[in-house]
Amino acid sequence: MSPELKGRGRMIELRHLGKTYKTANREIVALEDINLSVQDGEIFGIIGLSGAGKSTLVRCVNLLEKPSSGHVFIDGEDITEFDRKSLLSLRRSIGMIFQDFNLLEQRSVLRNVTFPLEVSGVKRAAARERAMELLKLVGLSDRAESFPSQLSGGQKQRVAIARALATNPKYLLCDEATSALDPNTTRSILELLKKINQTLGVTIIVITHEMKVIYQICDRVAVLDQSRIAEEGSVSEVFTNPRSKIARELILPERIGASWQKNSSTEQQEEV
Amino acid sequence: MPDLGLDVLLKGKNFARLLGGLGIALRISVISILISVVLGTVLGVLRQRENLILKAFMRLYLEVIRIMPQLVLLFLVYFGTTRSFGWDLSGETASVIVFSLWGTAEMSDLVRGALSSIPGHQYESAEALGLRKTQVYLYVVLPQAVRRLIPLSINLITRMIKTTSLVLMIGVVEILKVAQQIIEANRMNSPNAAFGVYLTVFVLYFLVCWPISVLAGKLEKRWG
Repeated sequence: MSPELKGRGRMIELRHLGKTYKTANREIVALEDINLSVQDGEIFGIIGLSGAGKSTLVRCVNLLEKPSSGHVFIDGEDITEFDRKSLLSLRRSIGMIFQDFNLLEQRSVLRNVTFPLEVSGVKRAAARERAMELLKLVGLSDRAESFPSQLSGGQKQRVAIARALATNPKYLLCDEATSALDPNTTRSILELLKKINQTLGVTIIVITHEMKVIYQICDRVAVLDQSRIAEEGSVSEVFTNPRSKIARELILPERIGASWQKNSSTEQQEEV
Repeated sequence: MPDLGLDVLLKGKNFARLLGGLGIALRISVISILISVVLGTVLGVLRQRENLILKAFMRLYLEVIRIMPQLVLLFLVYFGTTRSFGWDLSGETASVIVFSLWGTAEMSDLVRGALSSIPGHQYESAEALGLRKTQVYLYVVLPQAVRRLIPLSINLITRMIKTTSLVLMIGVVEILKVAQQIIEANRMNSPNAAFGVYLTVFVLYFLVCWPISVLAGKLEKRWG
């Protein structure tokens, strides 16, 4: 690995990343020679059809999946060489949210948000204060004592976002975070992510199969096709001039609808 | 009102004897349940591992226990093994062995089921929060697994208590056997006693198992 790659102020760098799963009778290639740089403070989108390897890719960023080859640099450090302890503290600096929210059903909203703090040894009162701050940020101050089963999907995702932000991460990974939500709720969650990116300066990686998600909040996008990156560039670039076949397929049928959505979303009141 | 022969219970120490019989039935149940819960949990957790030898062994064990009627198991242990291996087992010990074997098998199945019902993304998101493996189990997996496990294991516990009535067949003088003895002893002067005495046995079993069922129902409602 050439040293000049480390000092460019790029915060997340994937180099020649590969992932292969071995099953009893064959090998399945999930990722092949992925090279990506995610800049400080941007919202980076990764789009692809199901099975393209998006979820595996985002899991390699916090090593929920161990890459079979290649390197993951975060702030210039190769995290694939981290020991268990450094990896755990690294994970606290990378928040993650999921399609199915993954809240703890037996804990109240407040205690879901304080959970990662409690586990890392933060005092109860301090954790509570931080959680209330975050719940205010995501617009759920009044639901602190509710339980996840009493919330709508959008509200659950807001709690998950608050929880992911509890440990003050520099990065937020969103794995199909809006795929289980209706269009209006999706829009409001995306607005929230944008707000978090702008006010807290959190770098966000968004995994999605929906072009309108990319269009609404991302600065740059990578199009993933059959385990490889087919195309990468700024969202406007890729949208106006998609070079790969897969990008054209994903964008063109959406373009009219997406631009309409973008216009209407600015007028729409945010739903909480 | 027909003569139920309930007066038999008031004679001598009859009612106290019946309660004593219930005590024996409960002693067998409680010891077996404790052993089953502990061993069953350990085996259930172990069954999560991908160990072929353990898997084969557990499979054989479970199938044998499931297929055999408990009564046959009782006979096998009490009459069979004592003869063949020449050891000396009291009826009560034999009962505890059989009920523990049975309870452990069922319990391990429940634990395995509860653990594998926790979806993979729960482990994943816990790890994404920076939890250690032990913390993932302690704070995320176990609380959820226990919630699912409690109603099921309470059901198993009541079944075990009820099934202890079979141990009279290997000569253990538990509540049902005491009831029979009381009825036999009063066959001449109180020929209707069977109804009253068995009714009392029914009520006593009910009083033991019903609170447990209610508890199970409550927990299920609260956590369902």
